[in-house]
Amino acid sequence: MGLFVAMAIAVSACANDAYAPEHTDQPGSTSASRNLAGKSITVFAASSLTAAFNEIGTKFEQETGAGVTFSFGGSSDLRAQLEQGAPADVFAPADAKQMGLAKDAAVVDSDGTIFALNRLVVIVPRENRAGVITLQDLAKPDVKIALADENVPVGNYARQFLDNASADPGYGSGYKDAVLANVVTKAANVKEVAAAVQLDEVDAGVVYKTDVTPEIAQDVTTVEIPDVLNVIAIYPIALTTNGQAQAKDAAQAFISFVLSDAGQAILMSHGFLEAQ
Amino acid sequence: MAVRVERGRSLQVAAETVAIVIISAVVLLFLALPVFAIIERALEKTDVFDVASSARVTEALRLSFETTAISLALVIAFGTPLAYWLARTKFPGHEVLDALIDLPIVLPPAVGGLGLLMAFGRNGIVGSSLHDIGIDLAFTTAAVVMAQTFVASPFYIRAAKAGFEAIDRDLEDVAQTLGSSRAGVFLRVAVPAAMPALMAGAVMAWARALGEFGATIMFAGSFPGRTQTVPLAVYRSLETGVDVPLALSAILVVISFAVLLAFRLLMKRAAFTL
Amino acid sequence: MLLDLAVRCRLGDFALDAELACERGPLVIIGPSGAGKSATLRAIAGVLTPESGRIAVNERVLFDSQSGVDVASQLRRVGYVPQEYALFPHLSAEANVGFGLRGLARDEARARVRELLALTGLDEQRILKPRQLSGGQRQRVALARALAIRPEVLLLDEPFAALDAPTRAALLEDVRSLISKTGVASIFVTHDRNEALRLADTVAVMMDGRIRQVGTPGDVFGSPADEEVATFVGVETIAAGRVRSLNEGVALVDVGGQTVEGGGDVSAGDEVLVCVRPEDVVLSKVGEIDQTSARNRLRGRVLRVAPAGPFVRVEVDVGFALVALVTRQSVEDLGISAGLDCVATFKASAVHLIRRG
Repeated sequence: MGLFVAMAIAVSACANDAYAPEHTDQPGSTSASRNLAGKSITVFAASSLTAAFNEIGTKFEQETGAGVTFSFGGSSDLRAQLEQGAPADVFAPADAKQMGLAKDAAVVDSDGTIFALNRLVVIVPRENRAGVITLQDLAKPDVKIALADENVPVGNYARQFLDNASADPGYGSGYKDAVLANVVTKAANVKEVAAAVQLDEVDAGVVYKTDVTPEIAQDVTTVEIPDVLNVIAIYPIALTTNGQAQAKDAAQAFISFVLSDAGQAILMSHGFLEAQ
Repeated sequence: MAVRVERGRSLQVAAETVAIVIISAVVLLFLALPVFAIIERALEKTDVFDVASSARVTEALRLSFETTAISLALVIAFGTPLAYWLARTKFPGHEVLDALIDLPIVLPPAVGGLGLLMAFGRNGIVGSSLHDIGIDLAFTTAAVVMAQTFVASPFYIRAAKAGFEAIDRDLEDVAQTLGSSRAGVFLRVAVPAAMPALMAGAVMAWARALGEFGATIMFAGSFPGRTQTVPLAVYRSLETGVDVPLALSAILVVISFAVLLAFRLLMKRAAFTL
Repeated sequence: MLLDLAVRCRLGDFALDAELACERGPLVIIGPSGAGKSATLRAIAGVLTPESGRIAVNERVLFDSQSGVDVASQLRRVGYVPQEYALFPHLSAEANVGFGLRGLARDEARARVRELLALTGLDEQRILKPRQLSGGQRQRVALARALAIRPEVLLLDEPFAALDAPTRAALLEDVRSLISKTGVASIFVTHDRNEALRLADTVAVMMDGRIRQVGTPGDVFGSPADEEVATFVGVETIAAGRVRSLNEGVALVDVGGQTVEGGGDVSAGDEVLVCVRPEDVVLSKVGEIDQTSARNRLRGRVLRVAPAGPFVRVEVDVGFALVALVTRQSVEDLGISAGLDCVATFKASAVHLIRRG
């Protein structure tokens, strides 16, 4: 167990080895990490991680005795808060770009470790009065679309998907512009997009596959994006530089837990793809 | 003896003066420093004039001033007669109406926004009927105006109502005996006599509308040029860096201050000629 | 200036009854506060709507709950001047005066305003705002404003109450001449007896919503109709007695063990109130009197001496309480103080008898 912890620390300390995912075949934590009891950390994580991280957090608290508080939001918003000095111990954005910006601003100590992958999906309200059946329908006139702001990871990914589609003869080069012309709001995070679709205030929205949770499943219908056009979202996780010094071990333990079998299993159960 | 007493008194007066000066300085500093800091940092860190002329900034400013102007006009046009009526009639259950009018002040703006969505969104109570005839209000500039009007009206109506209540009833009685209809009394006597209160209320309402964020973002969403007012733009652009929000904020501060100052001077002149 | 007033209505718990015909104006309604004087004016002006009743001025019905008539204030053609004048603060003096002239052509209105400003002597103040005017000037603006619309009747509620004594005196004359110059029927309301005396040709005393007496000032003040009116108009000696006999219009009244001679519409055997104004009583030392024409000479003892402005109020027990008003000098000269034996003298013509019961 101590070996695992040491390795995890070593890995996260290797800055140039940024995208080497960590897998351990050691069982989850043991009572050796019980010395974290009484410590408490804050984790800034992308909104799309809400359900999965809440579950992970509970498990982590049970196993280590350390407390975890989450702040979920748009990754770019969270990063901006970190830059302004918000106290957090761990940062887990939904793309490498935000992690990179965070590293440039020296609020995280590395480019982080990838712990999960995600895919995009289009959701439409159950009523679907605009009749959006295929992805091409998104370009139809008078279709109201909600996308996240382009500075938010899922907004950026969505626009990448539109680029991919516009390069495909099946959609035509004008596809992206047509779809963007239908965008009525640039949401601050992916949950806002999902809410707008769920409330049937817009006709379609681009979210992560993991955002189609049981809670909203009955209010929305999914329109799949073929793999060839889809974008793989990469989620890195790293320690912040302005975290509590005395909780650094707890923060590191959290990261390790996320990367552990147990953590990965939870992520996968929520629809994330393995970080292979 | 008298000298000692006098000295004691002037010491007391001096102490009081010092205390007042210190307290005032602290308060002024607290209020003025953030504002001053914005302008100072904006000038220092960014090329304000460059950023200021960028589309994002000009769009947000234009949108903010256009929508708040319309909202204010609506609030005054509908709020003034309503406030007058509330001030003059005390029908049973008027407390309920009074509380209802005050409600938007107490509600968190996001709640107000949700309410607007539930009422006027395309699945809304009224909104669905509008949708059937082809009118969709959510995510439009009209939605921005509606959100602003919703949160700002109570400020104006309250002030106007108090202003009308304070008018000597004899004025209106005499006006009637001189041949003025009720509408004439309202326009020629009540409104001019209550003008200071009306103007103060209008300023508060405009200020509230200008800073409106929560209800706007829920009901109108955030789209540059269409619904992204200055508060939304500042918040959103913080994610990409601090220069755009600084420039935007600095401009808003300067313009708002100029408007408020102009208003004060205007009020002074008006009060003088009253 | 004939004025026919018929006000009989109900305002909440209060009943107003003011029916009178005034041959010579202006009419002044006096009474204690709370008597309903202002309410009467306001009801006539239409700013107060009674629950039931009838209001008519000069045969013109302004309100009648039975037949459903309620003429709007705007159409009643009354000039109403409230107690504090209610000048529009945001308008100049001339704008105030011209306020009711909306319906006229511009030149006509301007001419009328100029006419009234000249009449009230406010030419120089015409562009000033109310807060820049003195109390007297404000009152004149309020008057001019009310007169501008050529009202059928002018209603003034305590118009001099807000002014200081010297302004009041000067203005009283001005207002009286203004009224007679314009010839408009006017109703003043006041609680001040002196104002009534100086202003009115006809006085009506109102108490508890009802008109108790109408007449010339001399009638009302000299011959009050009943005890309450007598008290209000300033008769201080009111004693109960009985008419023993009548001799050529002069009654002999047994009162307080004394015999008093006085006039009044009474018959032998009547229970009466003997009323004497304190100004009409002369005091003298015992034994120092020559033959005078005064019929009443009563001996008594001074009960109380109290200052009353430049005069002194002396209460004497002559068998009943008799009040005299004398100068301080006289008090000094005669050595008047409590306990002094003295003689009180007053003419029969100064005695007013009110029939009781």
